[in-house]
Amino acid sequence: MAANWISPVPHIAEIVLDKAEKRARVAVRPSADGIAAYLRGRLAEDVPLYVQRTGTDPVAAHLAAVAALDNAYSAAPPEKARHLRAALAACGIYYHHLLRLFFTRMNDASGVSALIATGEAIPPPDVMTALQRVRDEITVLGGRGLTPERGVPGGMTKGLNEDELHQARTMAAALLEFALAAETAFRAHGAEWVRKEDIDLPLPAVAVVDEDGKSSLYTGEVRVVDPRGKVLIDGDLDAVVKFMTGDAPYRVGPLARFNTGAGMPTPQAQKALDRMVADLGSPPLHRVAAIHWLSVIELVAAAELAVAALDQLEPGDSGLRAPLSAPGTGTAAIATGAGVMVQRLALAANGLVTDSQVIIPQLEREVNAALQTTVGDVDPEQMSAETIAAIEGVIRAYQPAFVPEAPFLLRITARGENGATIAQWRKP
Amino acid sequence: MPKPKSVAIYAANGCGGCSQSLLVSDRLSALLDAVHPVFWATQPGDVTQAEIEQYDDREIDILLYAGPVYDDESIATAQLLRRVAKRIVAYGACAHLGGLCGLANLAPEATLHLAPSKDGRFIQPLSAVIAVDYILPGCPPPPAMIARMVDELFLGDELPPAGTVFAATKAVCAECDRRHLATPLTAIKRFHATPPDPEVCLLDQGYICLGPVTRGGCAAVCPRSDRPCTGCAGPLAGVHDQGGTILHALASLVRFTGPDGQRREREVLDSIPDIAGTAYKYSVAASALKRRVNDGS
Repeated sequence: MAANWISPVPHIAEIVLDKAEKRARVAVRPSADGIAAYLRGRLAEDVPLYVQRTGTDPVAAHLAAVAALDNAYSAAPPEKARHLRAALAACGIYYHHLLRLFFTRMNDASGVSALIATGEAIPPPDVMTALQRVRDEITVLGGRGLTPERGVPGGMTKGLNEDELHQARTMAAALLEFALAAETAFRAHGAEWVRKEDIDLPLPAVAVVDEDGKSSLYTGEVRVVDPRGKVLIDGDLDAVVKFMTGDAPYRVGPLARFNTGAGMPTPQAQKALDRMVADLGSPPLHRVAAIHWLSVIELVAAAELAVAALDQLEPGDSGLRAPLSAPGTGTAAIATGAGVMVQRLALAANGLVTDSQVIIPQLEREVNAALQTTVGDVDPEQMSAETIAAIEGVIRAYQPAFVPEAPFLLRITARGENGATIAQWRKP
Repeated sequence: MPKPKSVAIYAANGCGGCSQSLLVSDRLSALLDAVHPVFWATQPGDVTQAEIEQYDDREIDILLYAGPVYDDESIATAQLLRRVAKRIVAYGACAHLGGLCGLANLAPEATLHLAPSKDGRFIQPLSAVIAVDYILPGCPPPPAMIARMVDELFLGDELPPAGTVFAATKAVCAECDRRHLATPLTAIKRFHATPPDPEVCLLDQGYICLGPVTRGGCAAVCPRSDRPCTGCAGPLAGVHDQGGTILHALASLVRFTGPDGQRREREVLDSIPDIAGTAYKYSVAASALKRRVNDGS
């Protein structure tokens, strides 16, 4: 029997050593190029459903499409709809980070506890409870647990009744409690690992900031800063799209948000961030392992944002949809757990899609830059244990995890000049 | 004590939603406590064909296959998995029907996946290339259907009959609280532009709801969110072409009398936008349409 592997959440799967290029790299996911042809002729109102099945964060993809449709129909969602969407967005970030921090690859796994790596800092059943709770929260707010469906151009299809709002608030409070416990536990069990990891990779950062210039976990202006923190682009979405679709590597996600915004958008997350800053220093920070610490802090922020947004709602809220103008072109960018997602939709007069562009956050570009910087040139025919260890070190730094001992599968494939596989290494 | 069933989960190049639907299931603990997990591969590279070949024939008791079949390599992998698994479940709409990815068959350069498309590639349901024993429908499968599958397939003493679909036999309408008025359909409406009456059947109001031609078991979750059913659980038993069935039903529901009745009926039916994306959203690959075979030029 072959080795047993349990990998419930996608991780970096394979590192390729290209003999011709003499370098190690991971495959970069194309930025949804085929999606334009796919969406052409489809109903505008179905786009939020389609894009959430593109393999990226489904809650964020739904909300990004809805925001692009708002702009395409020149419709400003009513305040209550904005709060409902904000609560949904926060839960999407929470779900994303929970999956990536706690659920890992395990060998010969059996039972739920074996899927969850907490270093005994948090009982695995508590992680499962939090995961199911955020699924239920998304279900209440968005209609479906993994793929919410209530976003429409100009608002939301439906608000919450009294029971649903009570349930949502209770669950959000519990999610915050878990997040705070996770942050405390991380400082005891994971922070030392972040201090020891020494991969330092200065890169420009792309992230969304809110109206106060703080890190946004949903809407706002997209800002690009250089490795020293100097603002390169501030809110010019066309320039952002050009930057994100260019060849130069850049950083997205929690560390990019830290380097771009002026702190966390919520009080308890800011306190947690202050503790991290006291330990690791102020931005700009390019220590890759800080991603893990920041992810835990964003878990707190997301829960606080959900609580705050739900406080703004009333049971039986109606009038959650703004009137629509004639369709045109709309572009929107929102923060996702992994980074920044941009969607542009061009609609015909009958509300069918004529053109579209979806830009997804791509961690892989940064990983490749780190591999090049840290590992350097690699000749597949001269592989050494040191080289494999160096590659493993880079990949480990990028595998989101709550504890350093979280196992992962390292698969390295060497390819010859014709692309054929000439050797493979697998660890463990 | 009986030997625990060995279970493998293989996700082809889908969106990952099926794998997550199992991960967040309330039955995951019961499932993993009861079985011997062999592998859980969320992306094709997690388990290679060479590794699958190391398993003996029929060594894995039950394999859950999620995602569509889309090229020679995925067909070969599916055939290998068929060899090493005693029972295979088509898990989710992509494996069941081709899913949303199937709409890419109508535009050869299109893809819903974040992978480059190749000339000649087209999406197929799993049953088009290997024998499938069970079906768990949905995009992704809803919690209640997953629970039923776990209970019947993994926790029960006997396996359910081959061909079992872990969904309701009745249509979504049977689980929908909306009032059915059985009125003729006089105009096609779109839910984003005209908010529906929350109490009345969506189809009666002119919204194209696939509830009547789609298996229930989801508690009519989409109509409860004030949007029409999109048909993700696939056709009712005995129905081959889900999209064709709803179009047939629409043709019957649009009724005008008088001298210009036929003209008005045609006007309403002609006003249905994006027929493929509406009637065949998840089922193009499993339908009589299957794919575009030429560009019409």
